[in-house]
Amino acid sequence: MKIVKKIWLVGLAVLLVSLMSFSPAMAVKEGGTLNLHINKTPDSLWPLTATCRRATYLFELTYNYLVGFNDANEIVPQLAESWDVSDDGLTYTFHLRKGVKFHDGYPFTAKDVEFTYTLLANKKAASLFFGKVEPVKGAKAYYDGEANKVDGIQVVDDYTIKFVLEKPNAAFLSNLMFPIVPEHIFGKIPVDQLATSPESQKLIGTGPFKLVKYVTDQYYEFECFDDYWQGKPHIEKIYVKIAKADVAIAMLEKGEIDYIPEFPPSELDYVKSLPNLKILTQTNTTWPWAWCFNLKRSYFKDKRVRQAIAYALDRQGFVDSVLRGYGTVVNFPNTNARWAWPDPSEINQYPYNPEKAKTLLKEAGWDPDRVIEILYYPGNKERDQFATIGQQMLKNVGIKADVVCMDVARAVEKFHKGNFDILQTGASAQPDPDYQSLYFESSKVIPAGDNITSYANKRVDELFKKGRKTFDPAERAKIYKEINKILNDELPWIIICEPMHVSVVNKRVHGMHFNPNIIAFRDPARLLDIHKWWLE
Amino acid sequence: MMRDQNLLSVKNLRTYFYTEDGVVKAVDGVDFEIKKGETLGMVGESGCGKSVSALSIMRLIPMPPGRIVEGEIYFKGEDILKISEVAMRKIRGRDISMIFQEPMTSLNPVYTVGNQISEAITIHQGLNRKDSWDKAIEMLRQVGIPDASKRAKEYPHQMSGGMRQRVMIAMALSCNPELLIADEPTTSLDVTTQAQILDLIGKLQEEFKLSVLIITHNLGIVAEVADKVAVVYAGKVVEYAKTDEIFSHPLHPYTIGLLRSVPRLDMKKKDKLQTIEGEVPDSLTFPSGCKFHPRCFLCQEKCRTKEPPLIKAENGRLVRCWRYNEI
Amino acid sequence: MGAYIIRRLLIGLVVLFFVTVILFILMNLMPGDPITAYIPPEVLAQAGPEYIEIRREQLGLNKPVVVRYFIWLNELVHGNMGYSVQNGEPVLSRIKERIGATFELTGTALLLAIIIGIPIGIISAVKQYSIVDSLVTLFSFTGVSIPVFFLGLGLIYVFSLRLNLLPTGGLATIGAPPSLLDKLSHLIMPAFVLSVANLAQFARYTRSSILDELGQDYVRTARAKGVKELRVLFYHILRNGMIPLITVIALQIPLLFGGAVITEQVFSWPGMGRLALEAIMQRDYPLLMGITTVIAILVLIANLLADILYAVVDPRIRYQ
Repeated sequence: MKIVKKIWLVGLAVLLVSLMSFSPAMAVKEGGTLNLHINKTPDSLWPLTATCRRATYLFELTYNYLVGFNDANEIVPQLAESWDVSDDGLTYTFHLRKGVKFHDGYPFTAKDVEFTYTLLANKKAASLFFGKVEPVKGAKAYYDGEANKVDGIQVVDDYTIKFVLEKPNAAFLSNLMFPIVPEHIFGKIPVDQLATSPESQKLIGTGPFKLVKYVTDQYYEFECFDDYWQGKPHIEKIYVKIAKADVAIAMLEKGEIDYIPEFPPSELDYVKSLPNLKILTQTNTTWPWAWCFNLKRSYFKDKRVRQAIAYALDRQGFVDSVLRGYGTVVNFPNTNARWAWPDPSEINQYPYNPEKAKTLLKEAGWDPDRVIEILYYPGNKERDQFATIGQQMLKNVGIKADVVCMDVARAVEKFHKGNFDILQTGASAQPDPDYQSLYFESSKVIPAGDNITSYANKRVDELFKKGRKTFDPAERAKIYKEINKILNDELPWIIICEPMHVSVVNKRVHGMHFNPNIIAFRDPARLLDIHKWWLE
Repeated sequence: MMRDQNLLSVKNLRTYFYTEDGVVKAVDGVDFEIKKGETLGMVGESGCGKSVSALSIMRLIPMPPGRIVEGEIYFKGEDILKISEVAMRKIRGRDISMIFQEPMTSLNPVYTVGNQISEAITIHQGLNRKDSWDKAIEMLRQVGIPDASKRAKEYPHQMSGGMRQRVMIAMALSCNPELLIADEPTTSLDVTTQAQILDLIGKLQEEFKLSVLIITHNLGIVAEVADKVAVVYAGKVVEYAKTDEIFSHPLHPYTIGLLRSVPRLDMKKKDKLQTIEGEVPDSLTFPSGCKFHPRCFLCQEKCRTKEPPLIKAENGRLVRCWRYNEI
Repeated sequence: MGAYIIRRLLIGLVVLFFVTVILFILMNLMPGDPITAYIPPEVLAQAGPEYIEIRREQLGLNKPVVVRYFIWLNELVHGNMGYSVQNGEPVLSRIKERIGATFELTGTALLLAIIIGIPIGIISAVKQYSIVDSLVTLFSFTGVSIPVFFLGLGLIYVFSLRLNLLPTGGLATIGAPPSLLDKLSHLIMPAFVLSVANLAQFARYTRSSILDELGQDYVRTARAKGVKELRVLFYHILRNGMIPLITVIALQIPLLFGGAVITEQVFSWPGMGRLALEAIMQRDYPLLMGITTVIAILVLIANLLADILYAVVDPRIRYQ
């Protein structure tokens, strides 16, 4: 039922978005200044090492990827105009767009693509994204210093480049979403000094806007890039302003900010009273909130206990009250690849049912005197509230729990040592459902990987392996549907909900079009079509 | 008229303090006069109202909580309780000066002594900086401070107690006042210094033709320097006479008690020093009748119920006792 | 005087050394690893097998604490505070970028607190138990106890949103030509918010200090000399009353830096406070070490200045 609701919401969002882009009869205006908000200064603007999510907004303004996604989640051309895949699934040949220029006027060529992806495999570059190129032939050898180039990356001519993989990998194409950086600038800088070089902070890409100025902790100033390959953007200037969330709302009301891409739903009641603003929502399947069980604890080994906890939690109630309805209750670790979703009838929806929870606990022999710990780190205003709400709900079915809040660093250390009962967290999803192996494959158990719960299921391991080798979409779908069904039954994670992405924008901004589902090399993908926006 | 001869004439002075616990009648009917060149000693135990009387004359009673509720203070014929604050300020330090018990704390610790003396000179004599500084040094010399021009640049904490009291005196006399009020000027000093300071005051009194009101609990000092004595008890003058008369023939039982409590050289070893029995009454709960009656050896019924007025006795002496002629 | 200052300076250096030792130890006791703290787990998962080890080696985190401390100290002596774990930028340059803004804010706040707080304290002491005095007392207690972020947001609501008089935050209007008026309009709210607690504190201390002095014998002496009441207050009492206040002000300076952390957040002020908060959350030890050391130095300088000021104001110290 909940999935149905979710699809309905997706449909609604699509409808709204299309209405938005078609309804105004106003003519597109050129020029003007747009003010965007981010709540923290990104630690770095170098795509290889930037960890802060906010940096992505700046990347979307200034860089392009080789490929992108359309609303239907299909991979579409960006800097690569087209591509061929060999029959064995090992060789990808990309035909690059001609006439694309970097901000400094230099033409974009295959050299830049080669440079970017080789860099990802360079150990000295301290890249965080080696995983993206790992499937390429010779990448590991290059990473380990056994080769002086990545064999599998081959430039054919200025506008043709080949990637040869070690073995077939269905997720490879979507992993190619990464900012292409200019070789003619960074090729001259020693690799180990790239991340700290002043050049790396200048955001020189092929994107619609170029960075003009950065004032420490205040704002970034961007100017439209006249030679942008998709056409000169309508907006003349963009300021990305850095302010605390509470203050940003005041600035939004005052008109000092036009657009807050990440808006806390609990503040929406206030925004609704302001006439100059509108609320935009996107279904978000990339950032589900979850409770992860420590399956090394003997008392969580019985899956009836986990199921009982799922029944004990009134997740829909939480979404309705705290999230003001801007969220969806789901029952398996989700992914935006809708084709991998099992049929709703095949999975357990775990509706709120405290009586059933009590029965299950009794069957499993739960010790009512046991006190468990719910660990969380503050990150999201609304999510954080669930820890205490959940604690109360557990109490109602006879489970005693303490809530423990720690800052991220301490919490990570604690759960990496396996020293927790339940971890409340948000997990980021990648476009391809294979990403779930990070959390559920037995070879990735912490501290080696990110299988926080220490979940181990031979069948699931097998399925993940098979999924990576299978290219027939129908076959692949079957595999991931089965994985999701197993996870739905065994519940190493209870997904609390998928919060919707809520953003608030001044009505003077027109031409915005959002992918109803968020997909990007990392979320949020709000600005990918910013060259089409215009201001009243 | 008497007013004309008297430099200072205090009549029926009453200074009360309105505290949270009630009204403290610190000074409750004090009368005395000081003629030109005369020295009046004001004697009494601590808390009897001597210092408050002196501060009342200077109009330096902290208000609130204090208030001069009644009385007149004639200085050179003018009631200074009636003049403006501005006019009073001109009298302070110029016509009437005061030195205090604690030379340690009575000087401002953050300014040089020369600075503090010349401040008074600048205020009252309108001299420029240099002239008043020179005058200050001259004053220091007069009060017997050696190497005065160097010491003028010193801070109070660099000087001994006796030196500081000399500085205070220099400051007080720097504008040639007519009346010097010395409130326990030697109490906190050692005996040798005490004598030096008293000598100095005596010497300067002649030089400057000063009238002095010296406040003390020490009858010895009174005997040494005062022409007249006012004995104060519980905020009232209880006996008022010339110094030799007081010592030779005290009329008030309290005066007798005070005299008996002074050690004398002709005392035999076995003689015990006498003290006045009982304690100074709490000003919030003064006894009825004569304030001294609970401690008085002559006390009788009348003393308990009715307070005696200041009675004129022989030789123009004044005494506040129903039974003074029985002594 | 010269010997006095040199002695204070040497003591300051010794104190600084121990402060850095203690800070270093504390930071190493702090749970959490800098690498896992700032790289989100799902990003780390893609980064390659030995990523954490490689980074630890690059950052020198695999060396023993004592060795790391002396490396750090040696570099510090040579004017290098190390490199930020997050982005490899020199710590010194990250601090330099922001220290000016922090100085502007804390300096103005301190100035406001002094020029408003002290006169208020004097008035309320002179008019003890009057309505003014009661108001001041009420204000000081409110001022000390009101949370900075609450006051900050409240002021933004009133002055920026409702009255539309002042900007919500930032250093200057973006895109506008720099002008003093613009600068002041941005500075006034955060500086006031930051100063409120201090202002109240100063008012309270001034009041009690002046009341103390009012009862002193030398005040009576001055009055007995015929000195005017205003001069008694400003010439005689104030200088004595300032002596304890110097300590209070010097003690408030570290708190001012602490308060700046939150104020800078609320008013989008690009200072060290925001940097410090990030450094803590992300376990950026070199950056945190750098910031705390700089603040420790500033505090020591403030104390040294206070000591010198003492000597200037109070001859009893000067001639010891």
